[in-house]
Amino acid sequence: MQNQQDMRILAVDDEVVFLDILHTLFSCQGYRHNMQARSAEEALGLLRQPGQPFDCILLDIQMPGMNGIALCKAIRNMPKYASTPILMLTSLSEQVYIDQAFGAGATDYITKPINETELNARLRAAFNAIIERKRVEALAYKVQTSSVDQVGLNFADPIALPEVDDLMGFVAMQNYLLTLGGLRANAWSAIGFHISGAAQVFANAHPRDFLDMIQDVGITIREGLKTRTFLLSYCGSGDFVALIDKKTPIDEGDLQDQVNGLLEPFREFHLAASGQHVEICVSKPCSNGLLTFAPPTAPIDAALLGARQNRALAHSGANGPPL
Amino acid sequence: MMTVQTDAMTEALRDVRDRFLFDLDQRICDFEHLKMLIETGSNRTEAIRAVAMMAHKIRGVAPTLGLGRLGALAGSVEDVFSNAARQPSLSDFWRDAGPVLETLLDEMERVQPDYATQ
Repeated sequence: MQNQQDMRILAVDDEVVFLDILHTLFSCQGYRHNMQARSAEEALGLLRQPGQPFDCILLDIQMPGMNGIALCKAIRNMPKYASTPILMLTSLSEQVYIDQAFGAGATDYITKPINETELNARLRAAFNAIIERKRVEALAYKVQTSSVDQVGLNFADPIALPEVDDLMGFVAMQNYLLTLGGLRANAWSAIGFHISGAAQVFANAHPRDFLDMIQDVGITIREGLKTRTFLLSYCGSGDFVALIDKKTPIDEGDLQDQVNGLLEPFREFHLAASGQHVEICVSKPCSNGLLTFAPPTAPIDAALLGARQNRALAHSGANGPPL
Repeated sequence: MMTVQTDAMTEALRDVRDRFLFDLDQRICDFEHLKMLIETGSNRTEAIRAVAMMAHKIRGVAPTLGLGRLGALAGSVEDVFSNAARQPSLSDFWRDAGPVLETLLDEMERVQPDYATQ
């Protein structure tokens, strides 16, 4: 694939006129490989066909029979489409549908009526996500199969963590908040988790051991949050971010103690692999104020910064004056 | 929701718009049939749901085809009919919903070209 117009796109909608609109938009914008289905059943038939898979899938929600959200779940259960960008294209803007869509594995959500500029921009984002995912998947494969540590993995790569259940893509998490918009996104607080020592593990350990350490931390964080409603994502650079339902208050100090306690059984392996002790630093819950022009994704940035600063403060306390 | 589009796109969508307008007759007939079912009490719940779904579909395509008012009226119908269950009685529901549906049907007839004179 050289550019976004090379993507194989499948659009699913029971409204023939909308499929005609999409076909016209695609033709005008130079998208050469697009197919359509008028029902979830027809779409699944196309998706199950052997051969080159689709690169991007657009789904309506309200359809007779299986709706778009159930279809999204079914697609995500197909191994070859586990990470394919799925964009919901729908007139429905209520939060319940947005939550269900992202919960089913959607990566973006566009409300109808659409326009060419916005659709093109979202498809460009999907294309960029595909390129990045392929690069990171190639690295993950090298990490698993290579006997040497020169695999070209960057510390900042948001590498896939297959052993951490229900991990949300970082881009999908951002898109979720952007789709909700200011007031509705304010129902979530963002909490950052920084792995203190991750950079040293990356530098000193085999990439497989680094990946194992990151996954151990991810599993630990999930365990620490399991009594709450949350979404979790790995951002790269040893950082995780969680969106926590604001209805459940959270004390970051207690959470930090809890996740570090849960990590204890793994520490000796991390130490043996890298000579480095790792610790999880947790930020305060971050959210936008009600009267703010900050983007809905700002709390994520604040949470990640807070977790890193928490780590800096912890180290300064051990070693001397504040940094 | 942005519906601004280039002149080139508007021109490219002309055929789609023409087909949509040509098929409005069928949609009007379908709405009238469902209206009759609601008024006579036959399969009322399903009929109300079907009206909401049909309006939902028009809402999603009309503005892109330059029919903003039609899309907005379809949205109103969808919203009213989707909330039918919250009304205490059918007569309360129909008192509000009937005129909203009529306004949509009037607009659907208004935007249709007069094929007899073309």
